[in-house]
Amino acid sequence: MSKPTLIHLPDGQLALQTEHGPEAVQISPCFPWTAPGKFLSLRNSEGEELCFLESPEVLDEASRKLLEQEIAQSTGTFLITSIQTLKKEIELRCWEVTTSRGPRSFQTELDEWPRALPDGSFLIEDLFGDLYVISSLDKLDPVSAKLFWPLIG
Amino acid sequence: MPLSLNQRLIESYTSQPSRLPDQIRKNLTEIWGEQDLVLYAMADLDAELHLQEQWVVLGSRDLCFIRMESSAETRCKIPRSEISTIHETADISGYRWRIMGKDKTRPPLIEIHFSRRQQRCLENIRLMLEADAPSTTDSELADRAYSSSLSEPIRDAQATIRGDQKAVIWRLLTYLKPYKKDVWIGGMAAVFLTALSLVPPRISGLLIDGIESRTSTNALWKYIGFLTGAYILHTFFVWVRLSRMAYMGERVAHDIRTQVYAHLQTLSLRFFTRKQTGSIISRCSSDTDRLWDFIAFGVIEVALSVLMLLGLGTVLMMLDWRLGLLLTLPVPFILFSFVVHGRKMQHIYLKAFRKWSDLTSVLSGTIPGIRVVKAFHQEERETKRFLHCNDDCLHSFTQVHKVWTKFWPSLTFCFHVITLAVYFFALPRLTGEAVPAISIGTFVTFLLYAGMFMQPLQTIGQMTRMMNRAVSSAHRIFEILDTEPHIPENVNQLKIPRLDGKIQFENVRFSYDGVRQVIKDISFELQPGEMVGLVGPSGAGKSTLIQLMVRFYDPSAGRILIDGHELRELDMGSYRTQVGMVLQEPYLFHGSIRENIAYGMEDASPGSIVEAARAAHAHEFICKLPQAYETVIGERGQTLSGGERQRISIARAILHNPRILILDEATSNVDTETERKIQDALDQLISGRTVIAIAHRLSTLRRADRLLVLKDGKLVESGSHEELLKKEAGVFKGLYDMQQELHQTFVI
Repeated sequence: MSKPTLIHLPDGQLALQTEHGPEAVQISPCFPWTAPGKFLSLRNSEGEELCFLESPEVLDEASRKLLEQEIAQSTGTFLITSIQTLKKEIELRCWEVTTSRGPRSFQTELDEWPRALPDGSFLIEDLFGDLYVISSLDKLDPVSAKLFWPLIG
Repeated sequence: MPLSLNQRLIESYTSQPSRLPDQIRKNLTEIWGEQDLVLYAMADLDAELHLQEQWVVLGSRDLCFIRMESSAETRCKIPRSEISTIHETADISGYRWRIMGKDKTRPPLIEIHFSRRQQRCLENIRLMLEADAPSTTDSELADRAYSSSLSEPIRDAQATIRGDQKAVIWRLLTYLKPYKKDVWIGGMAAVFLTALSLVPPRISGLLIDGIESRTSTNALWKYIGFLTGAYILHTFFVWVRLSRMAYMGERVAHDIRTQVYAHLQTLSLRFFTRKQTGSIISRCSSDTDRLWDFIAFGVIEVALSVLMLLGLGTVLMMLDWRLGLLLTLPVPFILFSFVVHGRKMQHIYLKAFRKWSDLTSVLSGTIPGIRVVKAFHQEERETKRFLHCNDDCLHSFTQVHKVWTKFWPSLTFCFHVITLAVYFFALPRLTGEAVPAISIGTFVTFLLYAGMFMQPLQTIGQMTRMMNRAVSSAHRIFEILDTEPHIPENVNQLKIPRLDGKIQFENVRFSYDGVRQVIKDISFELQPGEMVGLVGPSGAGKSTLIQLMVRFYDPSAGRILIDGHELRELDMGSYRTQVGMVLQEPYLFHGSIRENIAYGMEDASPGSIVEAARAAHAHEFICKLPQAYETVIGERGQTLSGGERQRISIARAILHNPRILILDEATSNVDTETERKIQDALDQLISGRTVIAIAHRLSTLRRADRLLVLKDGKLVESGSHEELLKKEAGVFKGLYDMQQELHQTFVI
């Protein structure tokens, strides 16, 4: 079987070369936290899997670069660098934080605890489904760390 | 203009504008001339995925993209006629849009990035562009669409907004109105008993002074008499206060429970799918119980403690201001220590609660799934997992206990120090070495009053926690009471005593979350007495269509007509009694089989119940049960097999004699033998009614007059079984062939 080849369509979408020509694909990482960048399902606009990549290594250099760019774009989250306030309200926990993308206020449900990821970081999902990552408790300033400490298991 | 609740939620929680900034509104005319503002949304990420205020504004002719920067704004105007499609890429925490022009070989007209928070608002714009929907609208509608889409997840998680704790308490206290008399009697009893608590120490002091100064025995007996009277009155007022307030608290909790439960019955299914069952149950039970505690005791306890402290302080200062100051001056510091201790406890208790949550999630995961645990021989692993969480809990709660077990003895020691200080300053005055002299009686009175200081201080120290708990419970209850039924009922509703059973769907669209369309522009017509089968792959929208038919939800667009009348105009009570449903998972209530068959028809005669059961092929197995029709089936009918439960639900539907019958995968969960019995029962049921049936096994729909084939929310085919099988590339033919193939494989 020939190597899968990825290209960019004129509209900027990532596409897979198929026997019928290039077809736009979206990347669905199967294990975004435990095996980031691996086990990728490439799906067309109908949601059908056109190709499954266990590793980008199987691609040629140009395709791999395109894939890595797309992964970087599609798996980006808000990286929290400091926590200004963390308040409990009725049914909600309200966060005011500084992230790699800028300052942000968001809310989580009270029983929505930060999830510990295998690399030691913590993942938080807000009411809208936006994802926030804290790389480690040690990398936070003392005030932020003190606020965050009770929430981790 | 005052902000709406949605706008207030946005401003309070998202720190983004609650409406399109006025500056942009003003500039719009300059950008796109005279045209209506249709919709707008914020795209909050720039190309480098940094947070940035950017607006996507849809007008009747153009789409505008405006980036707000400190010095200027960047604008981009695209005529709607030039837009062909929008390519959306869903990232793990955001979206990308490529808005394409007519020439698809050219780069996109514009690329937009936004977080999930903005998705609903932008999806509205996309739908409007794709549907090429009406291009004139009121800008207030655009404001409403923006604010309701953006605030919905917050509203779903919490109905009210922060900062109105007082309002919640006041609202809670309005429930006391019908019990004013009890409040007065209970409150006054509490005041009297507080005052009476101050009497015994003073009389004891006078008694001691009397003994020391060799006052006459008669006079001393008088003191004993006063003391006895004070104790009797104290006991009486304790009884009045406790009984009045406890009964009243219970009645208030009862009123709230009744109101909440009655209101729950009016709410639409959307509410119940949004909230967890456990959460709703706890609002009706433990939250109302917590309010009982607060109303019956909490409010009065706190008020009395403040009163007691003031009373003690005044009496002590009046007895001897020097010693009085010794006792009263440390009070603010002690109260402050409560605040500090409370904060510290909250911090470490949250950690312990986090660990506790892990422990309970292990329990709630494994106990219901114990069969799987055993089947995969994972008992040891699960025990280790539990042990790990349990150890973590132990560690965290040890931390909690370490803090409070240090605090309270330290506080007691402070009181001892204060008492010693009283001795230290009083002793020279008692022995006459210092002036002014103090009598032994006064000194003893002092010591007794000092002993009374601790308890009200403790109560006041715990006031914040108690108040927060009560407000939180009240909030949770009021959230239900403030939730309006999503299916509003008109005042003058039409009652149709007997339906013919004609059903029309006209361009019906529906979305559960306001974003993803589950039903897309579906139209069809069912004649009275016709049997129609709904088929299609999973997720095609079949069950949703049925839920719309019984008005569990209202369509987002289009209309549904029953016998020519719009469904919204019909009286739901009268309509639903003429609609029967047999679902894939029949729901049986805890109670007897008779009660379950006759659910909603309490006056059904035993004969009609047996007749319905016979028609449903249920009579035979029911008679074999020890108490036949009076047999109590367990929770959700767990004591019966799936087929038996299903036949009881069919009997229920037969007894109701509905004009429209809905069968939603009624035979999918049973074996072939049971399916045959159920199918026989259904054959009895369907004659002479309009029937809409969903079936997994397509062969069971052979009897249907017509089949409607759904795919991805659209009606893609319709016709008889035979007609559809003739369509070689048809969806139905594909599904049918697949099932036949599976069946043959199974036979081989």
